[in-house]
Amino acid sequence: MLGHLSKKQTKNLARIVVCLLAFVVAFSIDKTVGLAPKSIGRLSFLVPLAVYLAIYIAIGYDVIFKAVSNILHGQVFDENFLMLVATLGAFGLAIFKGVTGEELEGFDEACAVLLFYQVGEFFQSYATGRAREDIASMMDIRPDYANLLSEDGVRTVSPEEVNVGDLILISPGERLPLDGVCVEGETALDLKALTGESVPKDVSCGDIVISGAVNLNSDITVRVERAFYDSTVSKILELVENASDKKSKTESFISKFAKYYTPTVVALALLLAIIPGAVSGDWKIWIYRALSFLVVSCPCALVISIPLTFFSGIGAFSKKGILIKGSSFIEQLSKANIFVFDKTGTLTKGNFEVVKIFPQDESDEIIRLAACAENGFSHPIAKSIMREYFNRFDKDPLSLSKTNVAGQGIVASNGEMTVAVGNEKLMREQGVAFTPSQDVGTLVYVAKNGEFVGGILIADAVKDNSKDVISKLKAMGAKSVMLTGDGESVARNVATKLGVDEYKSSLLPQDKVQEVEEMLSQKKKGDVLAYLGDGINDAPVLMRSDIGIAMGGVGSDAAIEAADVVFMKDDLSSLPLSKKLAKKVMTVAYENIVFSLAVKVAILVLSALGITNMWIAVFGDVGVAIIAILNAMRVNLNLNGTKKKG
Amino acid sequence: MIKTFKIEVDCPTCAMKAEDYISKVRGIRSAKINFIMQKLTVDMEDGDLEGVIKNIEKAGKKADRDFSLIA
Repeated sequence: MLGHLSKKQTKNLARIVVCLLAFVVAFSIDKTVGLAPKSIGRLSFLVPLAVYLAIYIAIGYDVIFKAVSNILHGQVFDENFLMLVATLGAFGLAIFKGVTGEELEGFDEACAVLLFYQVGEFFQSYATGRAREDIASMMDIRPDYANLLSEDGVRTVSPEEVNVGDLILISPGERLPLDGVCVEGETALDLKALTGESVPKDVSCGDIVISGAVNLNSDITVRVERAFYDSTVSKILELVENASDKKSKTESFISKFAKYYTPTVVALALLLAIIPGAVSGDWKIWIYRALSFLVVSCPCALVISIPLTFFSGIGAFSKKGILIKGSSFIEQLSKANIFVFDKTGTLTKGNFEVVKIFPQDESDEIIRLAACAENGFSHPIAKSIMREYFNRFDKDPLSLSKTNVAGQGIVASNGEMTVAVGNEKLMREQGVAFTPSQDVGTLVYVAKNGEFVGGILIADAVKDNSKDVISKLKAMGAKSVMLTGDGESVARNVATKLGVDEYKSSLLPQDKVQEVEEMLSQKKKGDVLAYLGDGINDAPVLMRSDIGIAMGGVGSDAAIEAADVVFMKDDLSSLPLSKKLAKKVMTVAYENIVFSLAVKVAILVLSALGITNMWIAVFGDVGVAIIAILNAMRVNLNLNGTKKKG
Repeated sequence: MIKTFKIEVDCPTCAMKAEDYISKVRGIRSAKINFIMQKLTVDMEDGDLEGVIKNIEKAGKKADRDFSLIA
């Protein structure tokens, strides 16, 4: 059950088991026959004292050592020291009772408290270690070596040693160590660790490949384009590893709280020992209750579980191909309620595409004719028509001699047939009787031998899931705003189609910054504005917004640097997903805070009232820490649906 | 000069403490510990590298006895 124990942990576990057994034996004898021999009268307490103290020292010598060394370094409110005071105080009380001839009790408790404290420490260390390893292994996309191709064959070197222009060989099962271009072979690459995308990507000669991807099928040779320090993997690792710098408010609150918690509890313990003690004169009871306070004086549960929750969260995000630059952005994302989108490349595909052909029944013929004219031109319109043509037909279009009529279109002919493909002006020029269309976008009309055949609508197509994402955000209570450089009619058309709440059209790149600035100044307290762009030309806006999200981050350095959140996959559905994840992480964080504090306060109150004893105090304290750690790890398990394999 | 070290530290609190202590070492401008990655990043002045590393280890151990510098 307990795999991966470090040497130290194994040693500690063995020590705990031995001491626990010794304690059980001593405790059973104590409670049945009694440890104290009646024959030596008043001094009989010395026997149980010696037995329990021996176990105490065996289980706690490191605590004692740490406490002493920390006190020498001036750390008064050290948890080890306080635990030592609590347990030694308990021994003291027990000795006092023994000397004064009251009942013999309390030795077992003093010893047990330290014993259970150590059990708790062990579990904490184990659980923290496991959680840490889990998260670290999930983020482990670091390549260990590169197979450098040189004149004298293949050499295995560290990725840092490879220079730009070198050739490297990647065999199936190996991780690409550096970014480059595939120059030989073809294969499929697994990008799951980078983008969260589970469908492998096929690559062949001439394709750009990025570090961190895993080669699935066969050997490929790659010409290195970027040194290791500039590679995608290094950038991502740097980002993830430094993610802990930008701490969330919750996290900062906990560190601050931790600083005051211990001194406060110690002060309360002192007051509890002195004041009611002096008033009632019953010192023993009140000192005992004060000592119970010290047992719960460490804010460990919070201090460990809250950062762990966020780390776990960052890990869960990166598993989905979403990089987060700090826990503060998880907090912000969970609150984000204004989403500003850059239209082109984010909500739309960012390239022209044939979206409609009319009349519908003649679409094949229209495209075939248009392709005859547009074939060979590099204009975006020509390209989108040719793409559509090859989607429908296998062979090349008819070859005609073409004339490019600037600003109007193309007229092509082979003697028997003349095809005119272009805008309204061209149709009028050619004397074609055509029916103008009311569609929004770029319209291309097609005429054959002076007869109108039909038209093609070319536009920047909306991504398949844009509408779904916008409505999901709306369902989460967020407002969406679309910014675009396109004209009013195109913008209105897309905005209505997607259902965004607001849109701003005809914006120059620099206007976008201004628009966002304005929205930032107008937003209400508590509003959080997230800007989502494709990372091209929008670095200033990404930096200015509360949360800048760049999409399709693989290979785009500027975006990775300027953004707070990077979607490695060019997929808009990462947006509602990250909001959901962020909320989940925050819920777990709050659960841990509330739960830990509630248990601590309950123990303090019950101890002060004398309802509980030190046994319960130590169980409660250790228990709550372990539960909080397990809860923190839950972030990772639940969000991903499945438990980590292996 | 920025240098990173692989370290071993048991708990986030110990990491925080060690970070504090190490940043006070002579020749260290700033220190940062990433607990999850078990990584220490320091910005140090040029000079006696060996000596500073020794002091880093000492400071770390002072903060928490189980702190260790691996590489």
